[in-house]
Amino acid sequence: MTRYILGRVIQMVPVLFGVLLLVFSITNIIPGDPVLLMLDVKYSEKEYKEMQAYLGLDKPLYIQFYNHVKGVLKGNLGKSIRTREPVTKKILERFPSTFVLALAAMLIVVIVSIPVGVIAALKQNSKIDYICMIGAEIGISMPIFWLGIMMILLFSLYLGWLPAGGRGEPPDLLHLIMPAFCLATPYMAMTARLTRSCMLEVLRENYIVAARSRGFPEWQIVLRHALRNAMIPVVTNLGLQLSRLLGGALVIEVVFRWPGMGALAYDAIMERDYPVLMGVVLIVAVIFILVNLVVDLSYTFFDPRIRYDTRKG
Amino acid sequence: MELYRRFKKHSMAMVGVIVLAVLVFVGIFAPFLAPKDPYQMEFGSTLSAPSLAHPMGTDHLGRDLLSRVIYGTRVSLLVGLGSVIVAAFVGGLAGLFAGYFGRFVDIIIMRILDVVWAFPPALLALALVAVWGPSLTTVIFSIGVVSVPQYARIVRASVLSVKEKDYILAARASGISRSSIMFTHVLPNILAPLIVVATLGIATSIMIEAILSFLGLGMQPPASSWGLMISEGQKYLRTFPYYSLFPGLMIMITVFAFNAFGDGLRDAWDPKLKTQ
Repeated sequence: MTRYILGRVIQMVPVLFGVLLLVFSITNIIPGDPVLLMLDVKYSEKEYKEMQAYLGLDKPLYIQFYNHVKGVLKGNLGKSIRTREPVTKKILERFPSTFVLALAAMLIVVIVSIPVGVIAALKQNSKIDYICMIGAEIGISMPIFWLGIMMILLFSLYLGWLPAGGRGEPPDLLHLIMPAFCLATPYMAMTARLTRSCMLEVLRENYIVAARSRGFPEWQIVLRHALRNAMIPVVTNLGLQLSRLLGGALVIEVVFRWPGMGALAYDAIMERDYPVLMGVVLIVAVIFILVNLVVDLSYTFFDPRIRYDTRKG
Repeated sequence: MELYRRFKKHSMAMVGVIVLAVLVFVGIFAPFLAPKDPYQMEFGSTLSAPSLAHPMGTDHLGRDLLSRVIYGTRVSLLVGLGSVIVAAFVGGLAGLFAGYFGRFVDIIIMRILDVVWAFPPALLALALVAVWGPSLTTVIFSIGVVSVPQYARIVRASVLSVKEKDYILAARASGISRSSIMFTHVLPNILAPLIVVATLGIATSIMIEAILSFLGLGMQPPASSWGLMISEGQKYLRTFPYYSLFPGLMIMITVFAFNAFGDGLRDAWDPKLKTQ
């Protein structure tokens, strides 16, 4: 077990290094001189040199990359070109908003899609099954930003039930409903489909037939025997979805003016504030890698066979 | 024949095929089907409601929305197809080499792709377009690049199972070169999963293009892109909701059709894949 965890952590290192290298490369091929962006319109040769040295851009690329990695490891992601504030500070300010949004969306996914998937599987090929699966197909096909706009139109502009954007002062639940629902929609659809297919597979297993022949009540078979086993891929998939939700929140945050990391990245693109954009991209990728690691390790908890395999190896 | 019979039984997939056929027809013959020039502005009739003259109404510059939606089909299909070709070609080759040669080649290729995989596709595509500058070509390439790992993974997994088959062993025993085995024996046998992923991938690419254009980093005005139209329409949501409504419906229909078609192909080719 320890060997497996250690192996997975060691495997993660080159990928993290690659992520840093890719983000650094993108930042360096962006057209335009970052030194000029930091200076006033009128500047002297001396000022240019000083700013170049201050930003560390007078050194060769590999030294710049080394310093960049060193900085990132210390939690320093550079400074915003526009506001001169540290990027880390800006991201830390916005991260809680995105996290709350992603968590609320995940909650909706779990509450809605798992029961829907289970019911669809139990009533396979019935009207309910078809309605659920067509609903899921539509949910996957709908552009979430468009769904957001249509919900604003209906619930904010026409009916006036929900606020059209922002987080509220102080933040409240009403502002969270629409963005969380929109963000959750495609993941609800995917999870419902996955739950259904996993349930169908498990319901065909011999131990379910055995449980039925021993006369256990149906609810007990479904909840205690089938669902527990069908949930292994669903739960691990939910973990991965949470990390994707953090990245996918960008467009929803823009539509609903939700003050999170996605909106920060969008503003950074519009203002050509590339250190901020790359900071957000880097953080989201690192979160994805870490969540992936946790999900992989959770497999060993849910499925003991993985542990045995490594012990043998 | 067996494949077609199984595919035909998938009613949702058949709907998908019909819708796709219509969309491709509309895309190809857009100049003949569009009632007006999509770029022609009529300042006398801006934001007018649907009527006989303008079945979907007009936009803020008085351009006919139906014509713009029809021309938008071209952009979406072009981006969807183009980026999938880029991704399937690069990802396919990477997966083929990784799976066939294994060991170091496999480790290096797959770790590089793990790096790309770590980024949310839309966010990385957004960063790439921000760097390269928004245009049809950069949108296609950016979406293509972020989709590469998906294709490489599928192809690699298929190659790993195909290369253990007896006919590959026989080919090796008869002294055929490695590259010849790879391209003439392995590749044709892994095309099925590749085509399925590509079909579903077109839907994802169309969605990412819509997101990029909506955020102002995809197709640029005055192009007729559905994502861009939704974004422009958002400003007139209260007074003229049709502006955002129709392009969004078109994205939904197109993505739905590609997904249904892809699901049908997958189930027809290999029913075992259905549960994965």
